[in-house]
Amino acid sequence: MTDAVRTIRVSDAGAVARLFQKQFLIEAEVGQSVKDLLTRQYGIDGETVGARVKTILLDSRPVDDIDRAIVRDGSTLALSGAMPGLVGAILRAGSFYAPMRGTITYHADGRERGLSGSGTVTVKLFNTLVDCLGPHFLRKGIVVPAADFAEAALSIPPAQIKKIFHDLSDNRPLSRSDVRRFAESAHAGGRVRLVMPGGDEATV
Amino acid sequence: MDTILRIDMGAPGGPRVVRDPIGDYAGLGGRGMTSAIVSKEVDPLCHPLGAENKLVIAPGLLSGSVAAMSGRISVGCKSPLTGGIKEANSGGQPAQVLARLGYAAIVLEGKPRTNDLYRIVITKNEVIVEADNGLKMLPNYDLVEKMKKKYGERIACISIGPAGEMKMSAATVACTDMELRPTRHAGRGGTGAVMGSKQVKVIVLDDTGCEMRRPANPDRFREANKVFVAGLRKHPVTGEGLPAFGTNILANIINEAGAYPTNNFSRGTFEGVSKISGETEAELEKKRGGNPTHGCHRGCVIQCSGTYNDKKGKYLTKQPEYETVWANGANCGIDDMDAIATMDYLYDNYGLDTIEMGATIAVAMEAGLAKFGDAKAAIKLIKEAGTGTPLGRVLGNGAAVTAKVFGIEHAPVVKGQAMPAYDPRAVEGIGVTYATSPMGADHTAGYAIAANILKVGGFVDPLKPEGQVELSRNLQIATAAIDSTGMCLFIAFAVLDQPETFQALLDLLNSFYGMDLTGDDVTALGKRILSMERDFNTRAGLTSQQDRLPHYFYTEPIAPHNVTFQVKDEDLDRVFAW
Repeated sequence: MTDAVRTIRVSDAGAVARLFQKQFLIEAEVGQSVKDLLTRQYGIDGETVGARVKTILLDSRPVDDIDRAIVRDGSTLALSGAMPGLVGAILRAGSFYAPMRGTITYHADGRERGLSGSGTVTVKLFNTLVDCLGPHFLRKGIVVPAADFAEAALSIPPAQIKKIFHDLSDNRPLSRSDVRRFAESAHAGGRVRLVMPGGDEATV
Repeated sequence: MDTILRIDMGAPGGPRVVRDPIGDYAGLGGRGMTSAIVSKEVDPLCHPLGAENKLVIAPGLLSGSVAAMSGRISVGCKSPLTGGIKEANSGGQPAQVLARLGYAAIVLEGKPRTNDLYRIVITKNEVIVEADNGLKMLPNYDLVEKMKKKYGERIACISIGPAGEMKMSAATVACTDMELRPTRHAGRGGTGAVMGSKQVKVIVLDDTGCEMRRPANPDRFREANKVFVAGLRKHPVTGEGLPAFGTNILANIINEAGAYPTNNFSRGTFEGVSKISGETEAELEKKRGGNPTHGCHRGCVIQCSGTYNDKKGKYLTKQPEYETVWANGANCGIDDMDAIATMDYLYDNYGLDTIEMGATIAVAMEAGLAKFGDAKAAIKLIKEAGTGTPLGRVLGNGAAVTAKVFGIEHAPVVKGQAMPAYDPRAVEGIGVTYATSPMGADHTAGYAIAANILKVGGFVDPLKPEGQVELSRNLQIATAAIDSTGMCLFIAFAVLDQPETFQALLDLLNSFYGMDLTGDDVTALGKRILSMERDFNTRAGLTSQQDRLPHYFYTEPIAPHNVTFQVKDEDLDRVFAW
C-alpha cells in the first residue's frame, strides 16, 4: 500500500483538509475493531470518539457498535459527526431508528475475527471530524493520490507552499513547480505520503 | 394574532377583504392552521386551479415574538401536483412580519373575473389589493427590487415568479430573507400555481408601527427561551454541523451509505460528490467572501443558511441546500458547484421547486434531451421552463408529466411529487415516509411516522398503544409540536436528544399563551393534523394505492448494496393505524 512516491511533511493540517473528505489510505492492524483502530492504533481518546464520532460507515454500511465492527485489509471507513434530518438520525450509530436502514446495516459475520497482521484501510473524514480527527491520522502518515495532493497544494498561495510542505525524500521545501510535477505524475497513478510533525516521518 | 385575513379575489366588483376572528382555528399555527382550513373549507374534488381552491398562508404560533427559531411560514392548498392536500414550508421574514401585523392566516379565495394581476399590501392600518399588470412575468428578484423602491426596505414579500403566473405544478411561493432577497420558498407541490390562479403576484408586508408579540408570562417565557437556545447551541447537529456546513453536510455521508440517488435514481453513489459536498461548498464560500453561517430569518440561532458568491466575489445566490445540490448535481450527474449555484439562482428567480425540477431534468436526461453531467444543457432546460416555451411548459409541470410525455418508466414520484435526496431502497424508513405522507414524496412531513413498522425499538404490536416505546412517542410529540407551531424543523433532534430542550419548547408555548399543554396534548394535536390531511385526501379520491412507491423500486436493486424496497403493503397501510 504505502509504496508512495515521496513523503511530504505537512506543518498545517488545514492545508490538506480537503483531502480528508475524498479519501486517504492508512496502515492498520486488521482484524481489530473500529474502536481499537481509532483509540489504540491512532491515539484518539475514547471520550472524543464517543462525543464526536456519531455516524460511522464501514464498507458503506452503518455501524451501530464500534467495538464489534471489525476492520479488514481493504476496508473503507467513513466517519462523520451527527447528521441532521430524519435520515441523519436513522444512520446514526446506535440509533433508535436503525431498523429503518436494516437492509444495509453492518453486521459482523464472524470471519473477521480470524484476521490479523497489517493491512491498508481507506478512511474518509467528513464535516466536523476533518479538523477534529485529521491531525491524528496525519501524525501517523496518510497516503493520497498525487493529483489530489497537487490540487490541494496549488490552491494555497505559492509563498505558503514552501512554508507548509517539506519534501522529506529530498530534505527541502516543496516549491510550486514541484507540486505541478506531482500533478503530472498522476497519470502514472502516483501517490504521496503526507505526515505531520509529532508523528512517524520515516520515508517508505 | 387572532385574526384571519380573507381576500376573495373573485368578489363582484373586485377583490374583497374581510377580517374574520380566528374562531374555531384558535390554538393552531403553521401546518396545523393551513391543513385545518384547507380540510374544512376546500372541496376535495375541486380543481386545484379553480375558484374553489384556497391558498392559506400561516405563520407559526410563536412567530412575531422573540422566541428563537419561530420564523417559519406555511402555505397550504389543494395541490395541483398531487391532487391531495399540501402544506409547503418556508423560512425568511414573512412569518415574523405577518404575525406582528396580527394575522394568524391570510386566505386567498375565489378567482378574479378579469385577467388582471394583483399586488396586495398589508400594513398596520390597511390592506390594499390593487391590479398591477406592470408586474406580469417579472422574475422574483426584479419584482422584489421594484417593491423595495416603492415601499422601502422594511418590507417582507411573498411572491410568485413567472412559473407561478404560468400555473406550473412545480411553481413555488417565494419569501424574502433578511437581506430582502427572494431566496426562501414554500417549494413543494405547486403552491405557486395556486397563487397564480388567484392572480396574486405579490403580497407586501410592512409591520412599521407594530410591536413584537408579547407573552402572557414574560419571565417564564424569557427563561424558557434561554434554555431552548442553550440546548440548540450545545447540540452537535444544531450547534456545530449545520452552522458550519449547512444542510449539504449530508452529501458525503448519504453518498457513503449508498443512498445518494445518482443519474435519475439509477445508483446510490456519485463519483463527483467531493466536488459538491457541504465541506467543499463551505470552503468555496469562505474563499470567495461569501458566508456559510447565516440565518434565513431573524431569531434563527442554527444559521444553516449561507451566501454563495461567484468567482469574482459577487453575490450569485443563497447557499444551495442539500436537496438542491443533490437534485441538480448527483441526480443529473453534474459535479460543478458553480453551475448548480447558477441553477439555484434561476429557480429562485423563476419561482420553481429545485427538487421537482432537478428530478425532472434527470428524467429529461434519461429521455435523451441532454446527457447526464451536461450542466450547460441543464441550465438551458431550466430557462425553457422559466420562460414558458412549449418544452418548458412540460418540464415546469414536474417529473411525472415529463416522464409521461417522453415515454420514460423511471419517474421517481409518489402521488405525482418527485422524491427528495435519499434512495428509499437503501434507507427503507424514508421510503415509508415517501409512500405514506399525505403530502406525496416528502422527507420532512413524515417525522411523525409510527414506530410500529420495521420493528423499530424491538418488536412492537402496532395495535397496542402501550407497546410504543418512549423515544418513538417523543418523536411524534416533538414533530407534532414543530408542525403545529411553525418552528423550524431542524430543532427536532436537539429537542429529542435533550429532555431539557424538549421541555423548554413546551414551556415556550405555555408561557406565551398562558396554557398548560403537556406532551400528550401536543401529540394529540399532531395526530389530529395528520388525520385531517388523510381524510381530505380520501375525499379527494386518493386511496391506499397512492401510498406506494413506483413499482421499479420494488424490483430494480440499487448499487452498491443491491437492495430493493421490501416493505410490505400491509405494513405501509398500518402506519396511521393509531
